This record gives sequence, C-alpha cells and structure tokens, in this order.
Amino acid sequence: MHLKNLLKVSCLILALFLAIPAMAQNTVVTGKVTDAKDGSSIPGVSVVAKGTTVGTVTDINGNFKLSVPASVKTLTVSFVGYTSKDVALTGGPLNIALETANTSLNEVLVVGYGTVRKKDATGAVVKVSSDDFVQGVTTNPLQQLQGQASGVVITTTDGDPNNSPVVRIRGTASISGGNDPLYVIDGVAGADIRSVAPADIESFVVEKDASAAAIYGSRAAGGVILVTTKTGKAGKTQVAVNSYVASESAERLPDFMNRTQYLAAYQGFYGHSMPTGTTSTSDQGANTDWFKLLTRTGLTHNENIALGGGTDKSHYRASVNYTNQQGIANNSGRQDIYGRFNFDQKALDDKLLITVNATGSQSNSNYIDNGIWLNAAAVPSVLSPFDPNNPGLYQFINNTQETNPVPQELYLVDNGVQDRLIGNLRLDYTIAPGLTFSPYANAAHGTNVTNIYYPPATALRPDGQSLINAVGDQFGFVSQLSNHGDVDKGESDYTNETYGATLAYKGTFGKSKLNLLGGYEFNNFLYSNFRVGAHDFNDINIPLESLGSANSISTKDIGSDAGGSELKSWFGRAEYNLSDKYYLTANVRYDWSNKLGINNQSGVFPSIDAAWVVSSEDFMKDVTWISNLKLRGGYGIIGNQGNIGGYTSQNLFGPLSNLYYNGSLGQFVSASGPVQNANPDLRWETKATTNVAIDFGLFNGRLNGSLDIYSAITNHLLYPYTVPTGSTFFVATILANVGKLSNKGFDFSLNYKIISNSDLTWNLGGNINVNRNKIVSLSGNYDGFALNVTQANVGSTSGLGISGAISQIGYLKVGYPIGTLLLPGYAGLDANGNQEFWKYAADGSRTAVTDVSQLNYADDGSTQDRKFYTTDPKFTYGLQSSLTYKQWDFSIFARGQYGSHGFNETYMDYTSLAKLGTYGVLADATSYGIKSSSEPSNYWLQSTAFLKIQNISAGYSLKIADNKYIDKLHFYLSGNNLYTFTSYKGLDPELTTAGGETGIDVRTLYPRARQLSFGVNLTLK
Amino acid sequence: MKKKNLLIIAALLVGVGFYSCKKALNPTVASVTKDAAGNSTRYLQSIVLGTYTQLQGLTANNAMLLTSEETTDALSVPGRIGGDWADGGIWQQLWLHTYTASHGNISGAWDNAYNTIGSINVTLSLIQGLPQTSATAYSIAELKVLRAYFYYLLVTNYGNVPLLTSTAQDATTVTTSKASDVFNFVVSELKTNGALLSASNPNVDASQYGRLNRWGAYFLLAKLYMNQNVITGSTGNAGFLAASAYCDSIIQKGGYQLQGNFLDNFSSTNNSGNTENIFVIPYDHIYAPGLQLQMMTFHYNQAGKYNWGSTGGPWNGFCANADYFGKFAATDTRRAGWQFGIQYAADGVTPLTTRGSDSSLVLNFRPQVSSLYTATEYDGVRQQKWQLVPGYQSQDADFALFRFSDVLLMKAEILTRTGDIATALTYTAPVRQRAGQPNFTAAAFALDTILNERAREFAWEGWRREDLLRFGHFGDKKQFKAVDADTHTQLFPIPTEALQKNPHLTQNAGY
Repeated sequence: MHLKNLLKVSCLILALFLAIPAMAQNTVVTGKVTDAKDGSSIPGVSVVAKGTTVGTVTDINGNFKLSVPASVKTLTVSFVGYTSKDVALTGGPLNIALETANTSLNEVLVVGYGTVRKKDATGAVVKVSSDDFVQGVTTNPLQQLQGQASGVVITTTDGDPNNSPVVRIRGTASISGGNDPLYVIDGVAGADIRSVAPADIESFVVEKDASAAAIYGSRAAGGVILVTTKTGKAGKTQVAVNSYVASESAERLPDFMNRTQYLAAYQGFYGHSMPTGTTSTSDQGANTDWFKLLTRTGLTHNENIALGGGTDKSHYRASVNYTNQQGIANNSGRQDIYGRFNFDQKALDDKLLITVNATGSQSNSNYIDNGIWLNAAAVPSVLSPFDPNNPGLYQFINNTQETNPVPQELYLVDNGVQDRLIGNLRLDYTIAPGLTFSPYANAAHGTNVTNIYYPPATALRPDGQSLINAVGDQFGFVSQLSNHGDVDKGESDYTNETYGATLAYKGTFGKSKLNLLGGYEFNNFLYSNFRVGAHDFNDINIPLESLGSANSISTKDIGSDAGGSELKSWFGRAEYNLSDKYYLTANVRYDWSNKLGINNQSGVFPSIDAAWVVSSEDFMKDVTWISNLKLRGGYGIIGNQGNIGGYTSQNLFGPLSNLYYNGSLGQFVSASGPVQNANPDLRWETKATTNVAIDFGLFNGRLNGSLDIYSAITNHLLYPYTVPTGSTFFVATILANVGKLSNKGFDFSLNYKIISNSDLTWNLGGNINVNRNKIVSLSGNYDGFALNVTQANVGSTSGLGISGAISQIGYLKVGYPIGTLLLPGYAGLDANGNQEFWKYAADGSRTAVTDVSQLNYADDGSTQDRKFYTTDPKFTYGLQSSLTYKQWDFSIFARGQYGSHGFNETYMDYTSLAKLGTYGVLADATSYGIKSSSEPSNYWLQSTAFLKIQNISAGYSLKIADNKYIDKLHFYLSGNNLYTFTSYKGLDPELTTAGGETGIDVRTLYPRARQLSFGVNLTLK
Repeated sequence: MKKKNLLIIAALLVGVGFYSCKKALNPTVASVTKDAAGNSTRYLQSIVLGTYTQLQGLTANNAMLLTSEETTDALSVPGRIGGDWADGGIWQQLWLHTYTASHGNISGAWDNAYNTIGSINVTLSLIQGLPQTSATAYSIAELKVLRAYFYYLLVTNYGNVPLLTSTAQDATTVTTSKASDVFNFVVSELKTNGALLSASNPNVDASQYGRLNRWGAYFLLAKLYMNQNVITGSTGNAGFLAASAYCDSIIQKGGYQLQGNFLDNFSSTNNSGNTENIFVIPYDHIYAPGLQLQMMTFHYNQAGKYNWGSTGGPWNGFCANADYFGKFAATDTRRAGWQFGIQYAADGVTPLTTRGSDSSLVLNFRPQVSSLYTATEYDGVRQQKWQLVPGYQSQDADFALFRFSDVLLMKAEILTRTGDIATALTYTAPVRQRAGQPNFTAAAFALDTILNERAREFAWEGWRREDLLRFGHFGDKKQFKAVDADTHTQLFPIPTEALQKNPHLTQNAGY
C-alpha cells in the first residue's frame, strides 16, 4: 500500500496541471471515486470527458466537480493501479467505484537487505499480504500464512493455544539441525515470530530456495520468512480500532463408551455383569464423560488500536494489541499484549532516511499436563472423579497407567511469562544519486520465566478449599521427590545484538539496469538460564510465592548456565536487467561462527539465478491473451546451524544429574564428569537448491499462476551418532555431519478473478505442493571413524504391555522419507478374537501367529516380520475463494493433504475388549471384536488424508455518508477450523511433521478447537 | 531499562563504526572444558568420586544385575492376563534362554558398562596429565579398581569383550579380547592397584563409604578366581585356592562382621554403622534416585499402601516362582524378604483386591506362576527386602554389591570343593544362625547345598547367574524351560548395536 500512497501524491501534483484550462461550461458533473474493494475514497483520480481534453482530478476526499460540454455523455475515469472505467452521465452525482488493476507485477517484495519489484524477482519468492489474511481468531502470526503459500506447510502439534506452529518450507531438510525458517521482522533477522502482533503485519514474504535466501547464508536453509509491519501513511491521522470475540469448543473429541455401552460390552465379553463397588476396577455407578469434564467452551477476545499518519517527510504508526485466549481445556490459556512503534523521518535535504522500529510484548501462558488426555481415555466411564466413600474428595484411581485426570488438570500449576523487546534503527544515506550507505543496528532481548508447581497429594477436594491430608503424590510427576509439593521455577534470557551496514548502488545504462549491494554484519548471541527446585512446603497453598518456606532444596535442584556465540558475515548481491526482459541475479554470503568446530568455522554461500520475461518480447506483442510470461531458474547453497549450541563442538566436563555420597560429610554432594565428546570437525549443514519456474498471467492478468520445480539436497547432514564408548568416546553420542537428504517436488499456484465489476467481485485461488523427501545416506567418515547407520529408531508408541522393541515403531531409514514406521503385518482375528500377525519364514512364506513374542523384531532387514511404511503426504493443498457484493464480503478457505498415513495409537490401545473392567474402551470397539491385548501393527496405520474447512467469513461494511469522524465500519462473522472431511478415526488427521513422533498419533494431544468469532473493524479519521 | 540502553549503545556503535570483536568463546557456566577441569583440586575430587554415580544405574531393569538375574530361576517376569508385561516377549526370552543379540536389556547392560568405562578412562587421562602427587596416585588406583569391577561384570556375562583402557584407543576398530585375556587383565589391575587402596572399612574411615577400598578389590579378586574355570575354561582347584587366600585376608584383616539381622543390610538407613557391607551403591530418593525394584515387583493396588498415588503405583511384574520360594524354610528369617499371602491396605486390616475382570478377588500372592505369558495378577511372590520409604518411588536403601556373608560362603564353598567339609561348616554356621536355621550337617551336605544357601542369602543381588554357571546348573530344566540344547547362552551375545558401531568385534559363538 506504500506504492498506492506514492501514486496518490504524485497524481495530486499532476492534477494541479490538468485542472488549469476549462472550456465554456454547459453541464456541471459532480461525483466521488472510491475503491471498489474497501470503499475508501481515492484522491487524484483523473476524470476526463470522453472525446475531449476536458478533465479534472479528485480531491483529497475523492470528490470531483467538472464542467463538460453538453455533447458529452460519458466520463473516463482512470488512476494508476486501477482499471480505467467509462461512466455514463446520469444527471445526478456519480458514485464511481474503481477496481484494482492487475498490479501484482508492480508489487514490491521485501527481500534480504533490500526490495525488489515482483516483476523483477528471479527466485522462488511468495508474498502473502494482509489482504489475503483470513478474518477471525488469529493468535499467532503464522496462522495467517497457513495454507496460503504453496510449499509452506504449517501445522500445529495439537490444539494447545500455547503451542507454536511447526513450519516446513518445501519439506523437512534436516534431522538434527533444525528446520525452522529464519524470521526477519522489519530487517531484524532471527527475531521471535511471536514478538509481532498478527494485526500489525502488512505482509509476509517467503523465500523458499537458495536463490533468494542465500544472502542470509548459514541461517537460511529452513527458508526465510520476511515480515513487514504496517507503517503510517501520509495525510490525516487515522485511528484503526479492531476487535473480535470468539467462542471456542472442541472440533472433535474421542468417543469412548458411556456407562450403558460399557456395562453391556462388559457383560458381552466376560459373560457376567461388572461387579459394583467402590474400587477403581468396579462399577461405581457413575456415567462420566471424562473428555467433557476436562473441556469447556472457551472465550477468546482481541482488541487492537493503531494510530498512524505522517507527512511527506515522516511517517509514524503506533499500536497496542491485546489477546486473551482461554483454550478449551480448563485451566489452560494464553494472554498476549503487544506494543509497537514504527517511525521514519527524512532529513538532510531528504538525503537521509531514519527508520526506527520498537516493539515490546508479553505472553502469559497457562499450560496443562497433556497426560490428562491419555488418562481421560484410560479411565472407564463407570468410575466417578470423586471418592465413592467420601464424595468431598477426588478419588485415587489405582490402575497402572491411570490417574484421575480431573484434579491433575485443575491443580497442576504450570505457567510461563515471556517478555520480548526488539529495537531496530536504520539509516539510509544517499551519498550520490544511486548510491546509498545504510548502517543499522538492532537488538532483541527476551526473558522467559517458568513456574511449575506439582501440588502434593491426593486427597484433593473438588471445591478446592483445602489441600491438606496429603498422603502421597497424586500425580506421580516427580514421585521420587517429596509428597508435600514440588516447585520448579526457572528463568532464561537471551540478548541478540546485530550491527551492520550496507552500501547499495542502483544505476541505469541505456537499456541495462544494474543494482549492487555489499555489506558487513556482526551478530552477538548471549544467553543465560537459571532454575531452582524446591520441595516440602510448610505452606502448600502459595509455594511459588514463598520458596523460602521449602524444607528441601538440594544442590541438585539449582542449576544455571550461560554462554553465547558470534556470527560475522560479509555479503553481497548483484542484479542485472536488460530491457526488463533478461535478468541475472547473484547473491553471496561469507559467514564465520564460533559455534562450529575449530576446523570448520567459516563458509561461503552463493547463489545465482536468471529470468526471461518472454511476454515482453516483440514476437509476443500480438498474443494479447498472455499478459505476462516469465521463465526463471536458479541454483544456490544455503546453510543450517539452527540446533547447534554454542559449545557443541567442545569436550565438556559438567555436573552430573545424580549426586555422590561423601561419607566424610555424611551427605550427598555434587558430582562432575565428562558430559560431551569433542567434535572439532562440526560444521553447518548445507542445502543446495535448484529451482526452475514459470510465472504467467493470462487474460489481462485475470488468471495468474506460477509453477516452480525444485530440488534441494542437504549435505553434511547432522545426526547424533551413537558411538562405541570406552575410550575415544565416553559419551555414547556425537553430533556429526556425514549424511545426506533430499527434497524434490513442485509448487503450483493459481488465482483467477472470475468476476470483477463495481458491484461484484469473485476470486478463486488454489495452491498445491508435491514434495518427495528422502534420506539419501546417514553414513560416512568422521575424523577417520566410519559412522554407519542404515536405520535408526526415533519414535515410539505406548500402551499397556507395549514397551521395548514392539513399541519402537518410528524410524529413520535410508532410502525412505522422514516419518517412516516399522510395523508387523496384521493378519486378522482368529476364532477366539485374538489378533494375528504375519510371521515370515526365510523362504518368504508366512504364517499367522497370535503371540507377538514369536515375531522377529530385528530392524536390520534380516526379517520380513516388520515392514516399513511411509506416512508423509503425496501432496498438500490450499483453496480459497472470496466474493464481494456491494457492501458484503464473503470468503472461504480450505486446506488439506492427500496420501498421508498415521499410526492411530488411541485405536490400537482402546479397541481391545480385554481392557474392559480396568480401562476406558472406545465406543466402536465391539465392532472390531478384538479380545486379545493391544499390539502395534499395520492395522492401525490409517489414512490421514483430509480437507479442512479452515475458515469461512462473512462481513458487511456499513455505508457511511460523508462523515467527519468515521471512515469505515466493517462487521464480520467468522468460523475457524469448522469441519474436517476425513476417513481418519482418531482425534485429528493433521499430525505433527516434526520429531520422532512424525506419523504417530499419540494419546496426549490437546484437541483442536473450532472457533466462532464476531469482529468489528473501525477506522476513524 | 537495560534493553533501552542496549539500543542506545547499538545506535552509537553504528555511528562510530563497526563493532568488531575477537572475544574467545567463553565456556558455559554449567560445563567447563577438559582443560579447565584439571585446575581445581576440589573439582577433581568431584570428578573422581562422581564416577561412582554411574553405579546408580546398575539396578535399573535394563542394566547388568537384574538382566543377568532374569536368566536364572530366581526372577520370573511372566506376562500377565490382559497384556501387561507382554512387551514383545523380552522377559520370556531371558527366562527361556532364547535371547538374541538384539535384546534391548542385554544391549542396555553393555552400554551402561562401557559408558562408565569411558568416563573412567577420560578421567584417568585427565589425572595422569596433572602433576603427580600421592592424591593423584590414589585416585588413579581407585578408578582402575572401579574399572576392573565393570570388566568383571562384562567378562562374567559376555565373556569375550573389547578391552578399552585408554582414551588413545579407537573404540570403533578395537577387536574383541578373549575372556581369558580379560581375566588376566582384571586380576593384574586388581592386584597392582588394590594393594594401594585404604585398608580401613567405612566404620573406621567414613570417607570410604560407597567406594572401593582394598577389601573391595580383594573381594573382586576372590570372585574372579572362584569363577576362573568358568571364565577361562581352566580346570582344577588352582583358582579356588587363590580365591581362598583373598577371602582369608578379608576375614582376618578387613574388620567386617555379619549384621545381627539379615534385613539390616537392606534398611533405608543402612549407610552408617553397617559392618557387613563391603561395597554399596548409595541411593537416595532425591539426590541419588535409581533403586526402584519395588515398583517392578509390587501389585498395582498396593500403591495406596505405600503412598504412591495412582500413576506412581507399582507395575506388578517381577516375582519368584514356587520352585525358588520353596528353597526358603518357613522359619528362615530371610523369608521375610518376600511378600506372599493376602495383602492389606495401609491400615493392615482391609484386604486389597485385584483388578481387571476378577476385581472382587482378594489380592493373595501365591508362589505358583501359572503361565509364562498369561499369569494371573497374583502369581509369584514379591521381593521386599530392600526397605521401603512410603511415598517415594525411588528408595533410600543402599544396594550392597559386596557383602561379608558372601566371603564366608565363598570360603565354605572353597573348602567343600577341596574336601574339607568340617571346616566348611564352620563358615556356613554364622550365616545359618543369623537366618534362624540350624547349621548343615556333614551327612546332609553336598556342594549344591552351598548353591541353595546362596540362593536364599543373595536373592536378586546379581550373583545367581554366575553361581549357577559355577555349579554347572545354568542350563538345567526349570519351570516352562527344558534343558538348554547347547551351552552358547552361557554367555550373552555381543549386542547388535555394538557390532554395528564397531564391526571389528567378534560375536560370541552360537549367536
């Protein structure tokens, strides 16, 4: 919108010239020109009587007045960035709404250390603007990006409002090195994405491959997401007030047997009715819906106010944003408050531009123990949460894996407070025309305080009045500790400082344009952590506020560490453009970091790419239906050091977790020992990306699309190798870079403006990403040692009687993608309802066995008894459509995946009828008829293909007559996460794509919420 | 306000010029580099004695002591009706001697031993690089004896193992040493270094508690020689005679004597005043957690009795069957180390019940184990000799690795093997007497009498496997298991993972 303002200003100036001559007048025409999309008035619009030279421009409020000859029947209204329009005279005042033209090519993209016109971009760069954001509940900026850009897959582990989304740009490119993208917020690289309020974001630019991201060098392998916040606009001060209120409820909860179903199933299975009684394995006469008890309809509300304005010399914008999200689990929730100030000022005859951004934010999080979800599943509905013998107390539930989830949810205190401050100062000084020197500095500081209190005991009263009569650790959280309550309190903080400067040159030589940029940057990262544990409180009600009342704090309960690292970099970019047809761009960055092994502390990250705008060629002139056609391609190398700690390469001695007994003192004292192997060869991972693409715009830009085909090879892949201990290595793992991983695929996106006129607009868009991930190798030589891994167990499932090899189902396997599972083959049920599994003989023949202990669980390929299954999707996609009709606006946004699978742990565990009497059992368990105990097998590997209706919104903009105060008033209703089309039986088919649990739907997931919101946007002038 | 200042400074620095910094990488406060570790005497002591904390993992269910015990007749882990303890058959494999190289517990035990050996080797190289004093010499000797203990565990369980004694060796290419070579190495290390260690027991010098002193080293030497024939394949009595000398030395000069009560050795306050324990793992529920045997063995519904709450409840796994429990006479005071019969709530009156489909049944532990795969909840008697502190999952009782009663029974065994039964009976007498049992008579005495006495005296203390091997009964028929087809299971396999990490190792025969 920056550009639009500039245009407005320049057109105003133009208008002064146009307005001078006027012929003898016959008719006076008046009217107002507005933006068809948002109804805002457009100043500086050219209004010309058709067939004459008579014309004028609109004033600051979009109004015009023009005298035209009587013969004139039509006015031509035109403005840069809008589609010109002929309007017939009606005799009365005209209300003219202009449609935005296909301006996407003129859009400016913020890229590393500069900007580029979208038209000139050569790399795989996607912009998502605030116009594209969905309305309704948005508590994390990344939600605005979810599903909007192809190849940018954003998932959350579960529905906990405190969980940050997992972002994977073009697949998982690292196993141990970290996959998070680099966030650059208003030029501050490495900033916390949660430090910016969603409502303050003007746009995201996602750099998906090395050609664009190489300028960020060793931190760019996960992709780069550049966030630009809103700035003030020249003119009258505008005040925007936005607010929404939303109710949240679980989209889906697991369906377990109610009392009637449970007792009937029990009778059917055992042939006698369930004994009544007060023990936790008898029918207590209750009908408890544990999931209902744990959840609620949560309330979320958001208020934000922004004040913006400026002159041609300076702009300012200040905003305050508050969100309170309750969460659907009792006792969970989150509050965020943000303040932001953006300011820029020209000085020294406009040669100097000073830009300042400052932001502070605080997040308060209330966490729950997600073990409650497992317990809610595991406890039968015929049990009461309360003690049958003493209904004033919660009852113990004594069955192995279970605890009573209700007090567990209500009485655990687990909260965190995060404070963040970011300050950014940048100077752009024009030394000579085309030559700009830009020093900058920024600093980010954050603190994170965590407070955990495990209350003592057992006899918790439902009224919460008293926690006395402690007779044990109700929850078993830290049962080796006291039974009078345990506190764990910690604080960590970080400070990241960046100092740098760039020198940029822009020149035009005939048909050639040349842009050059060079720069140096120094980053200093510092952190410190502190934690204390305390136990046995005199006053068990406010232990967090009175650590001094603890009777037990040992040396083992106190810990601290601090440290830091440095990153020094040189970087440069050259962009060459001939006739706006042929483009060549090169980026390079040299990074030096002392986090890495002494032998490998520096690296060079180059990229080069080229583009050809075919549609600008003479031979395309006659092909009018093609408005834009561009071919581009590039190659580059980017690095990854995300998860390498400051001291990972060094041989370390440190405190051991247990103490040793000092007989002289008669007490346990702190022990130390070697804790980390040295790795002088430790280096960053490198990712080599190749991208070829075609961008096209057809039918005067009404149909736009891009197709990018890419390949990304991660070399020097980090992996924690287990090494033989005893001599050289004394700790069983070493992080070494010897593997290789690849991601190949394509991104395709398409947008179509189906209808576009003053009353009705209808847009349809979609994107799809196909990605094939493969671990190419995990073997190689490190410092003369052969590290050889062909598969490794990384993830497990769990359940009663499921441990050891049979639980170890999540694998990394060379030749397969990340998120591969190794499972026995299910062979059906025998006559007695026992599950059978295929056991393979050496000759490949197979027999069904009921006892998994007869299967060979070796994972080295020596047996067929377990086979590998991939879980990752064949493709992911997003679909959106928006429609405006007069004052109404509607939008729908859906996203999904296809060809994916997940291991349904809940169904594996709670379909077994043998659990009746002790455990919860799923409502549809009888239809499975499984009478033997639960065992992991490929039977529980289910399709997780889904189509999620992520958002539907409807809004209405009030038609406001010229008003002194109100510029715009818009109301909307919006629904998030409305419905999921899937055949998957578990809680949610959208499983995390990160870590060892990839592809395993564990039982400890917070259900995702459906959010219904009502919001108001008010702009005051 | 600190941050504001930072911004101002940042702005100033940009104005002045580039802020360049060549500051060295400072170590984190929580960990220091190896170089810095050597410079503080106090720190060094925490490293040397800190090595003993590695022992705290030794009683875990996937470490050496219990894994070896589970291959014997002493410790049954049957799968329970409803699927608990099915765990893919890993427990049954140990009982049935069908374990393979991929068995997780066998691999866990190996890793635990070599991780400790690695720590010791690193610490040794650190100390050897310091200016040598009498203190460093003592630490070196003590660490070498501790390392010898882990090689003892390795050689008795795995036989042929890689011998890593210095950080200069390459653990990815070292080859397997023959069991007899490992035996000779351990003997030589113990002889050389054991003599340098303190001859004071912890009742004389409290600082020796939880550490290996000279008598600990001699105890190990006695054990090695007792098992020399099994380990090295030698025959004859030479080993037993050598062991005899070390037993005598401990008996005559060590200053140890039996505690009055058997259970004193397992009490939650046994870390002071105990005269019998020669080497223990000091445990504490907060500072040194790790002893959780009762969680493995007790029934779920006993949680309330011991204040473990619900998820903290025990897991109803490990037990002993009728054959083993039958070795204890009803009057044997050591029988109090087992839980059997009807179990009551904390009030001592209300009987506990089972759960599952027979949730109305009274919990009545019986010695019979009805099935290896679908045993009832109440099958098998449960171990309770390590005293519990209610409310805590991890226990305060220290785990005695070497006990003086073992020295007496070793001595009795040696004398029996060398034909002097009359004298042998003088060594069994105090052990029998303490158990409230009459001493054996020469008429009703055979070598296996000693084995059975050891079963009663050292149940679940980690000695049963090597005892059965030494007495030639490891492969015998037992409940649910026929006589072993061959002898290959007398050694554990080298774990698959170890072979993957170092392909130069040789797998034991038969795997």
